[in-house]
Amino acid sequence: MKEKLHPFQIAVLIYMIQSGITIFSLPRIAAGAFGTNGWIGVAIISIIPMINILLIALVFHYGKGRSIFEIFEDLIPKFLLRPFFLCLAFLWCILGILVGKNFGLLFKMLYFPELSPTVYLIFTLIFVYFLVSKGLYQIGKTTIIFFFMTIWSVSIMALYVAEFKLARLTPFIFKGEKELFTQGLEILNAFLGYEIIILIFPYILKSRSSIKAMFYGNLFTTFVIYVPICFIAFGVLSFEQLKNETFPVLTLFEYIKFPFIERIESLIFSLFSLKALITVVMFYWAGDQVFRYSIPQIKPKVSIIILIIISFGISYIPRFLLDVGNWLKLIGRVEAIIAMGLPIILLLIIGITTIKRKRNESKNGEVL
Amino acid sequence: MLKLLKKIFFNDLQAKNSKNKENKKNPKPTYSHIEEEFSKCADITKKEYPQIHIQLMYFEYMIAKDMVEKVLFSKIDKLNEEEIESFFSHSQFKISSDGKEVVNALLAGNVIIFHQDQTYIFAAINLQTRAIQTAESETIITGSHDAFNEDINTNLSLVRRRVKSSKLKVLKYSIGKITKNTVYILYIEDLAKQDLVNELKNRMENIKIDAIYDVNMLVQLIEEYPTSPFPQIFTTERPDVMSSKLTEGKIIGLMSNSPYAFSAPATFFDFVHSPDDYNQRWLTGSLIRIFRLFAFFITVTLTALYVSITTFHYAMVPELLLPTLVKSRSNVPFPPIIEALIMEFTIELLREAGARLPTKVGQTIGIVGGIVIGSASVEAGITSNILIIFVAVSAISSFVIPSYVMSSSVRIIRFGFILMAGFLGNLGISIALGFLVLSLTSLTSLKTPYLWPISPTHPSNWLDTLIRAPLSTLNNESNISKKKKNSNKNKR
Repeated sequence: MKEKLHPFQIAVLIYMIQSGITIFSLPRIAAGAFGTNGWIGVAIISIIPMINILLIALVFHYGKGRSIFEIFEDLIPKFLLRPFFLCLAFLWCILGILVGKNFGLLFKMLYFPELSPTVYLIFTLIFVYFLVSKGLYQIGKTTIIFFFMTIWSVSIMALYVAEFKLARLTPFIFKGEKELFTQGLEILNAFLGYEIIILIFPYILKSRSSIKAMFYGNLFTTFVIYVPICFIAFGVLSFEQLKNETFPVLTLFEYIKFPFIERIESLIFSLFSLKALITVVMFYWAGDQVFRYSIPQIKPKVSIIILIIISFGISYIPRFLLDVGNWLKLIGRVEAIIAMGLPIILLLIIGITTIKRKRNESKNGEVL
Repeated sequence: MLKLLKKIFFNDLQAKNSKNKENKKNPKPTYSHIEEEFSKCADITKKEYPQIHIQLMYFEYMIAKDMVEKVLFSKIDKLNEEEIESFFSHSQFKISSDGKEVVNALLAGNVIIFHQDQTYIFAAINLQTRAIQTAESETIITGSHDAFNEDINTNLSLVRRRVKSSKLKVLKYSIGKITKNTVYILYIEDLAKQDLVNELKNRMENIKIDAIYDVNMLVQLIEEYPTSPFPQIFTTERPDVMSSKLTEGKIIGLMSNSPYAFSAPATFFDFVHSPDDYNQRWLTGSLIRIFRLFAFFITVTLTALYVSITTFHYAMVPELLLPTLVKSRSNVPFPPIIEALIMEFTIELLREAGARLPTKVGQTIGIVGGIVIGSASVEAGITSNILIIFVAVSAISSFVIPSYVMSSSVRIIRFGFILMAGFLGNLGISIALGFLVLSLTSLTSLKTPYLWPISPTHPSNWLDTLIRAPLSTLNNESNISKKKKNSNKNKR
C-alpha cells in the first residue's frame, strides 16, 4: 500500500516549508515595507497565500484529487509539457540549493567564520538524497520530529513580556518611510513554499481534512509564528532599531541570559538549519517529481542524483551572500508568479475540459 | 530398447541410492546405530539386562535420577521375559521407529530402551535450572520482581500465570541446525494483527543458522535493519513487561536456554519506558518518564555541547562562569574534541570493566575510576574539571534508559555528536541531530514505524508515550479495543 500523508503532517509540512530563516529578519522587512506597526502588514500579506491555497484547494476539489500532470494532459500535449516541467524542476532545485547556501553563508558570517558553505551544502544534499529517494511519506515523518525539535524555541520569545512596551507600538499605523512593493514582495517570499503542495494530491489520505490542514498550516505560520514574533519585536525594539538591525529576532535572542548559558541565538539559529533543511528537501522533492515526469525513462534514485549534481554546480555561480540574496530575490519573484499562476492555469484547464466534455456528451446525446 | 533398459536400470539405481541415502540419514533406531551415532561420547551411560534382552542408553546427568531409579530401574530388575510386553505398554513408554527422534530424545535427557526390534523413549528429563530470581539488568522498585530464567517451560508458565486467556496462542519452532533451540511465539489472537503474526512466522521459518544461544542473538536475525545502531526488537527479562506487551497486541517470543524474551513490533518508546512508570502514581510516573526522555537528549548532546562551546561558541558561557572555564581549560594541552574523546573513551572502559568484574570489585572500579582517575587527570592537566562534570552527567543520563541495549546504542552515537561538534560547532550538533532523526524515522520494526505514535502522528496514543496518563484512561476495555484498532490501522 502506498503510504499517504495524514492531515496533521500536511499542516506541519506547510509550516515547515514556509517558515525559514527569513523569520529572523521579518520584523525589519515588515518595518521597511509598512513603517510603524508593520506587524499588522504581515497579517495582511498572509491573505495572499491564503487565497493561493484556496485556489490550490479548488484545483484539488474540481480536479477530483488527480495529479497536476493528469490535469495538464487533458488539454496540452505531453511534448509541450515536458520542457515546461523540466524548467520548473531546475528552478525548484536551484531555489532549494540557494536556500541551503544562504543559510550556510549566514551561519559563516554570524557565528562560524571558518565554516565552508560547501561542507554544509554537502551534508544538506546527503539529507536531500536520503529523504527524497525514500519518498514523501518519509519526508513527512522526519518533518514531524523536526517540528517538535524546533517549535519550542519560539516560546523563548515569551521571556520578553517584561520588556514589552505598548508605547513602542505607537498609535500611528503604517507611518514612516515605506517600500510597499519591493519589501512587501519580500514578506510574501517569507510565506512561499506552500505552492509545492499542488504536487502532493496523490499522497493525501483524507481529502477534506487535508484541505483544511493546508489552511491551518498557513494560519499557524502567520498567527502563531510570524505575527506574534513581529509583534514582540515591534514592542521590544524601537522602530529605528528594527529598521537598522539585519536580524532583529536574533538581536532579541542575544539578550536572553540563563544562569548557566547565554547568547543562545547561535544554538537556536543552528537548530533552524533543520527547518531550512525541510524547505530544501521539499523543493528538491518537487523538482524530482516534475523532472521524472519530463524524463519518464529515468530511475527514481538516479533522477535525484542528477538534480543534486547539476544544482550543486550552479550553486557555485553566486559566491557571496549578497549574490545569493539577489538570486533568491529574483527566483522568489518567479516563484511567486508560479505559485499564483499554476493553480489558476490548472483551474482554467479543468474548466475548459469540463465544458468540452459536456459539449461532447450533449453532441453524442443528439446523435444518439 | 537400450534407452528403455538404461532408464529402468538407472531409475532403479537412483531410487535405490536415494533410499540408501535416506536410510543413512535417518536409520532405524537400533542399539548399534545409536551407539555408532554417539561413538566417542564418554559421557553416555549404557546399561544392559542380558537375561531379559534389554539395553538402556542415557546421559546420567540429564535424567531425574530418583524418579528413574524408582519407576524404571528397580522395576526392570524384577522383570521376567513374560512381563516385558505388558510393562512397556504403559503410557510412559513411547515407541519410536524414527532414528532422528530417538537421537534428539536422548540429547534432550530421556532414557532410550532397546528391546528386541523395538525402541522406547522414557521421559526422564531433569535439567538443572536456576530458580526464579529477581531481574538483574532491569531492576525496579515497585512491582513484581520475578524474572525469566533459562528454562523455557518456566518462562512460559510465568507468562501464562499472568495472561490467563485461551486466546493466548503459542507457536513452536526449532532454531539452529546444531543447537536446536526451542522458540515459542506467543500472541493474543484477537489483539495481535494477523499480518504481523504471519510476517514474524515467515521470518522465523527463514532463519538458517547452525548455532544460536540467546534471544538477543535471535532478534538480530529477525530485525529489518541489522546495520542500524538502534535495536528494533525489544528484549527483556521481565515476565510482567512481556505480559503487558501481549495485551498491547504485540507478539512475544521465548527461547530455550535464554533468560530473555523478545517482543515485536517495538517502537523507540518501548526502550525508554519502565514498568515502574505504571506502578507509581500517574503524576510521578509521567514526570519520571519525561525526565528519562530528557536524559536521552542530555546523554547524546551534553559532551558535544561542551566541545562546541569551548571550541567555537565561547560567547555562550556566562560572564561569571567564563574565568572558571578558561582557568580550568588553561592547563589542558589538547583541543576540546580530543579532551572529550579521551574522557568518553575512559568512561566507556570503566563501564565495561565494571560490568565484567564481580560486583564487589566492580564497585571499587567505579570509585577508582570516578574519583581517583577523575581528580588525578584534572590535577595532571589532562582534562578540565568542567568536562569531567559534563561527561559524568552524560554517562549517568545514559544509565537512566532502562533498556541496556538502547543505552549502549545511545552511548555509541554520542561519539558521532562529539566529532560533529568538534568540526562544525552548534551547527554540527544540529546536523547530527538531523541524521539521528533521519535514522530513527527510517526504521521500522515488523513493518511498524519506529517512532510511532509521534511520527507518523497519532495524538490519541500520546497519553501512554510521552507521559503516563492515569490508568483509568489507559487500561479500560474500550481503550484496549481502541488501542488495538489504532495500532492495526496505523502501524504501517
